[in-house]
Amino acid sequence: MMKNQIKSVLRNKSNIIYIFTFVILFAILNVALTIRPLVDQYFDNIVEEYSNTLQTQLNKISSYENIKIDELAKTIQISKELTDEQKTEIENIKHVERLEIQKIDLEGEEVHIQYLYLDDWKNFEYVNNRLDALGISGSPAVLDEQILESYSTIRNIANTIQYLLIIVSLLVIIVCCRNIVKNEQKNIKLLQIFGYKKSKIKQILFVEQITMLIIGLIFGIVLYELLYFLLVHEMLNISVENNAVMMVAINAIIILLPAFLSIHIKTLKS
Amino acid sequence: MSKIEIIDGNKEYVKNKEKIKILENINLKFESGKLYGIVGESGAGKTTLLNIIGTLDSFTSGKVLIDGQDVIQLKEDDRARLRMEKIGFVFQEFYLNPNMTVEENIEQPMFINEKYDKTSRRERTSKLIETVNLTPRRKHFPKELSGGEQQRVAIARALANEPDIILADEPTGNLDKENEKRIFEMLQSLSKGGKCVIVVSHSSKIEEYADQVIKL
Ligand SMILES: Nc1ncnc2c1ncn2[C@@H]1O[C@H](COP(=O)(O)OP(=O)(O)OP(=O)(O)O)[C@@H](O)[C@H]1O
Ligand SMILES: [Mg+2]
Repeated sequence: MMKNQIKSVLRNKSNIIYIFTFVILFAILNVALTIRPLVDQYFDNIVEEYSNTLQTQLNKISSYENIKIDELAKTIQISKELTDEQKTEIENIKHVERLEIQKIDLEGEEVHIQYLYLDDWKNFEYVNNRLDALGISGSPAVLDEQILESYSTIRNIANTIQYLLIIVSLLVIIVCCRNIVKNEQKNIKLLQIFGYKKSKIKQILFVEQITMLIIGLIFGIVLYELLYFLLVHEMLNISVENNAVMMVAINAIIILLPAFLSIHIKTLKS
Repeated sequence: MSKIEIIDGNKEYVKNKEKIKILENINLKFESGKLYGIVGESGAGKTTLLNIIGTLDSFTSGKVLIDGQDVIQLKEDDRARLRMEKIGFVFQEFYLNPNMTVEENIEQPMFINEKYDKTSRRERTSKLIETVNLTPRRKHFPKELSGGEQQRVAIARALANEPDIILADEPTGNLDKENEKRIFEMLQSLSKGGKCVIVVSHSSKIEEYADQVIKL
């Protein structure tokens, strides 16, 4: 039964336009999901380059030979003397890997510098905010603050664009699905006349929507891969590690939610 | 026991707080093996009555008994089941799925009938197509058929689940004389075969074929 129903839905010319819309939307959606990792990767490259340059310079000075800049690039420096209580609190902050205290002899006077090693330089902002809350101020040990600032700005813009695109594609898909079901009213009525139960009709509609959305998704992903390859890989020369689980989850939600909503519209009540 | 019995049927619509009475004190009996013609002016409630008998609509008050069972008391899913098992519908505008072939259209009501498996469903479909003389057209879409041919598809589809009752609402309204004759003959032979056939019609020809004409 489903086979015939789906065939008839796919033969419907106006549905082809909806599937085409889905293709575009899924491509846009997945491009949107790539923006954040792209920004992160771009800045990782900048930070790496920055650390490399610094390292080369330091290596020329023999007394700094043992310093590893790429580690220090992920480090927050706290100059204020910490109590034991504060130390444990700090060590419990998320993203903090360890707290190290270095004693430096500064012209006969012993100065303590506390280094906070993070898992990733991108978490500076988060940890700094937590430190602020504890009344402790820290600053990046070696990393240029300007890099952090521009990262923060661009990341926020990227996040906004990403959420906007996700919401817009979700809304458009919901509207499309509702229209598809509305266009099916005559056939729904026909199925009711044949004696199909309401639950069965909903099931048929759901499978129809899902089929169309999955076709849209498949071609959308192809289009996205093409865009990604041409724009990101070829032009920007960055390779991005996408969060596959998140992408699958969001695509799945954007397929299931509109399909689910569309079969619950009131026009189904005869 | 009559196949269908209507007892004190009343139907009214309330529009802008005003009651409009469509059907008043309807008492009718329909027997198996007979063809009934329902005639009346436009707006007399013929379609409404047919829909009520077909459990797609219901009376404001009154009873509809099919095989002695009061269908208005049934739950929605049970009414759907009753339609599937006992009632076939034919409409003036044919009402075929334009995106399904002749074969697929006729097959559609059979999917929900446990009586058929894939093989018997296919067999029955072929047989029905043969009955309405459309075998060479079985892969065609409705828009590729003439009005008369489309109505024959609709009749074959109405017969899909071997219903005892055929309800036809102006089945020849969109057809020429030649095709009208053919459809009426088809419906008549169904009644002769034991089915209870109720036909709403504006055509005077209905009196030639009907065993009884009911005026609303
Ligand atoms: N949902 C509704 N709400 C209000 N009035 C309705 C509704 N459905 C039908 N009617 C009215 O009920 C009356 C009977 O309609 P019905 O379709 O049964 O007439 P009919 O005898 O089949 O007419 P025709 O010969 O033109 O097909 C009409 O006056 C119509 O306007
Ligand atoms: Mg009518």
